[in-house]
Amino acid sequence: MNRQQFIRYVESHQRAVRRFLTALCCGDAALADDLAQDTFVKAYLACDSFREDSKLSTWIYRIAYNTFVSSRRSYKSTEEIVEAVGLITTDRADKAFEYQQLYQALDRLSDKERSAILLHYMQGYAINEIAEITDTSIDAVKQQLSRGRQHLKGLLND
Amino acid sequence: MEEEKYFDLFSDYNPELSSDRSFMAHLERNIEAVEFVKSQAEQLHRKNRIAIISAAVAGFVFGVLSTLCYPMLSEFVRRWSLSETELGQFVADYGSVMIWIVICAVVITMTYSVYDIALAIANKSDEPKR
Repeated sequence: MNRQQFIRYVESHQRAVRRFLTALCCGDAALADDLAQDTFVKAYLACDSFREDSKLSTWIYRIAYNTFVSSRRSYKSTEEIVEAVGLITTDRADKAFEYQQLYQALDRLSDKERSAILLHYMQGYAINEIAEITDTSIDAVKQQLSRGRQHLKGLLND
Repeated sequence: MEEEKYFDLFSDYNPELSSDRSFMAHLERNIEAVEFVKSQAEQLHRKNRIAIISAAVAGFVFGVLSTLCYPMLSEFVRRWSLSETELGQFVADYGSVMIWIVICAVVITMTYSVYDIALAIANKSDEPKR
């Protein structure tokens, strides 16, 4: 895949990846954009090694997930969602407030549960595809989805 | 919540993101930077390869020439060892070892010098002409 083809692909898919990363980062759009930039740069560098036996989108999401996990290892401190909302400008306050409950619920999940929930219910990936993206077994993904659903059910019904 | 409700939870999820144009512009700048670094690394690798090959050839040539000079050096050392002094005795005992040490030192020095010169020439040829 040459550079132009890669850029064309990114133009049509970047919004979905950024949306996924924003939810994964519990509403931190700036961090999500940074992770998205890292993801696409890594994908560009590695596009020669992409094997045709998996879908390109699955491969991209795998890089995005690994980039997110690496960033979580590097940056151990996290801000409370309540404090983060206070940092948002008034123009975007309403939009951020709309999803505040969702972000708070997602923030209480573990990284793996949140990833599984978002990949399945937001991005529409099947369990075997999620296992490929997160490099875990199908049983582990089923367990993460089950636990994630339990947590979300409890938190969103409060 | 039923399974469908979890899908519905995210179906309307549409967070406000920065503009697509600025994101793509930023990405293209990052890719340009990465390609620049890659090309610089490839250039450096190419120069190093040329310098190493030059040094290897020079090392081989100097090694052969030095080895061909061994009989001459050996004769020179033998004449030194004929004197009855302590130094003469030392030279008689360790003369061949000393010759090989000198040969190695000369070959290593010349090899490294050729590597340095080849690298300097490669760097100079890449400089923009004024």
